[in-house]
Amino acid sequence: MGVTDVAVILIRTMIMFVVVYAATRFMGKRQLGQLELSELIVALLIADLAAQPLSDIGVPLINGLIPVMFLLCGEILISGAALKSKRFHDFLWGKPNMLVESGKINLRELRRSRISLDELAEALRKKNIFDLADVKYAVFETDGTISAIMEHPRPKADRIALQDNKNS
Amino acid sequence: MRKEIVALILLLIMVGGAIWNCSHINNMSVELTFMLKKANTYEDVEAVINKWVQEERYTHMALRHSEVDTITSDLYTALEFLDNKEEFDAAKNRVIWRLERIQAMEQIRWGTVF
Repeated sequence: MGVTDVAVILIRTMIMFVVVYAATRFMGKRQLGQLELSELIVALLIADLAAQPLSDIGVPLINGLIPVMFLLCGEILISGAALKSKRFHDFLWGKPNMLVESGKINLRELRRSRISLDELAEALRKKNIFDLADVKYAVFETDGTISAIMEHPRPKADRIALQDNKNS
Repeated sequence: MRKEIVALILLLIMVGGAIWNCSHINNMSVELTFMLKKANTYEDVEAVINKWVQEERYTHMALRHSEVDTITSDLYTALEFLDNKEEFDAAKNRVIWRLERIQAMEQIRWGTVF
């Protein structure tokens, strides 16, 4: 690899970095953990496509730029359409699944979501919920997280007491 | 709404650019193939090379560099074999095949998509 090759790679890297950065900003990205499925796919594809002309200078730079721009535009149009149409939104990203209702586990929804009881228990423990009876609703969200609403939200004093117990 | 409009415009520009690229590569390949098939003298082949070199800035942006360099190399090879008709025809056919391959690769077909 000669000096010219290194210079070309440097310039291409700078161009690609600016384009991908601008594309991500233009899309208005949320944090990685909050990405919907299509957004995650776009992010992964962009990363791979942008890298191709950087690793092989025989590949024209436009071979990386065009797909990145296309994915960006496609994602913006799809997410715009999903905002306008609830049906399209549900088709694209699915609906949240109610896993627990008033302390009772909905096994059918659990199976449909391909979540085991252990995984559900683990997700609830991470939210400091140790008794299923305390759960009013546990929802498997479309971004893959499980959110829970307590039957009786803990009073603030109890939360402070918990914090004190943790610290002592 | 503004982002969606900008995205749509960009998309249309890219689609338009892709169609124009197909057409330009097609026309260029057809013209060079025609010139090459008629070429019998040093000046004829040189005219093909000059035409190809003129397009080099565009072809290097739109095509794989190895493809472009191979065709350039094959054209100069054809010049070397001007005195030997068989070798000259073989060299010309090789270039014509490469040009037709480039043309085919830029078209939307089952083979190119899959």
